[in-house]
Amino acid sequence: MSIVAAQAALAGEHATLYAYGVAGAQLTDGERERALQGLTAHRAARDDLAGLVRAEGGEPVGPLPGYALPFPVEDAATAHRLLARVEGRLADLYGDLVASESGSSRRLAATGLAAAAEQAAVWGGRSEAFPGFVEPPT
Amino acid sequence: MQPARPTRRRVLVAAGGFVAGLAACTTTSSTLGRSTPTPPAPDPSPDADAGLTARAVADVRALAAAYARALTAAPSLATELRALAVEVDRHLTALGAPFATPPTAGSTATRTPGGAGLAVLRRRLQVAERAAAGRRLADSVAAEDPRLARLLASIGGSNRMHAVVLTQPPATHR
Repeated sequence: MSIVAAQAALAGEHATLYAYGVAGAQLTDGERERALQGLTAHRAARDDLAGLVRAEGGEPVGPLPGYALPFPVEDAATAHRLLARVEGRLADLYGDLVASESGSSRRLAATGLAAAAEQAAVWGGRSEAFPGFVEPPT
Repeated sequence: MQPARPTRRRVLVAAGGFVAGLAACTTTSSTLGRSTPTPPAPDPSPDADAGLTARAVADVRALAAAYARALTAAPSLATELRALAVEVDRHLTALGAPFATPPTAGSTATRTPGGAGLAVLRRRLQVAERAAAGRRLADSVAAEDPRLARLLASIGGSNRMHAVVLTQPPATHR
């Protein structure tokens, strides 16, 4: 068990939720619907991770008041790019958590990894052989 | 979104703000395991893990063969499918298995399927990728070796990405 990895994934979920808020304003109606589903899933994951941190005896990290964006998000294209990027980054954080947990906590982490990878692709991210690794294993 | 999509790694290197923001709230962790990402040539010491690995290898081989068949049947999908097939081959390598030998075209007709046939081909691959993703998730949870667990979870994530790509119209595939 690693409370550090759980906190990092939780912080990643907070950041991802922020990104969805920013991106949402630039999306078309149909896309916004999809983003809302993402938002709901990420909120649930955030709560699960907070529960995990508590179960491991920690105080869950909260969101930052704001996050610096890697580039201006001013249209649908940049909104997609932001979401693909944060989802990819989130998958990496879940990868750490997969390796540090077992049992149901690992299931939570592996599910989070797969969901984030999938969402990265949904928002236009390039397919990857090894999402959840910063440096691919091969 | 036309601008060339940078690979995530490049992004991470270049990324200032947002990723820094992420790191900021996780204590001093640019060391979150980020820098030493444990290349797992999976260590099949426990027997159970060897079984999981063997099952994953068989599964990935079957997927590789499905891509090879689809490529033979539908050369017009080559650009799209080859990129995914290459990633499937990388899964095999990471699991410590040699590439599957692609089945020879043999006598199976090289009749190029029309639009509907292509859609069916893509749909079948998509279903196979999703099924594989589900099994890798279960295998990841069951693995003893945490490195193997991460690898299996990652391969499952890749399967999910492939399934998304296969749902998108080929013309917009990026």
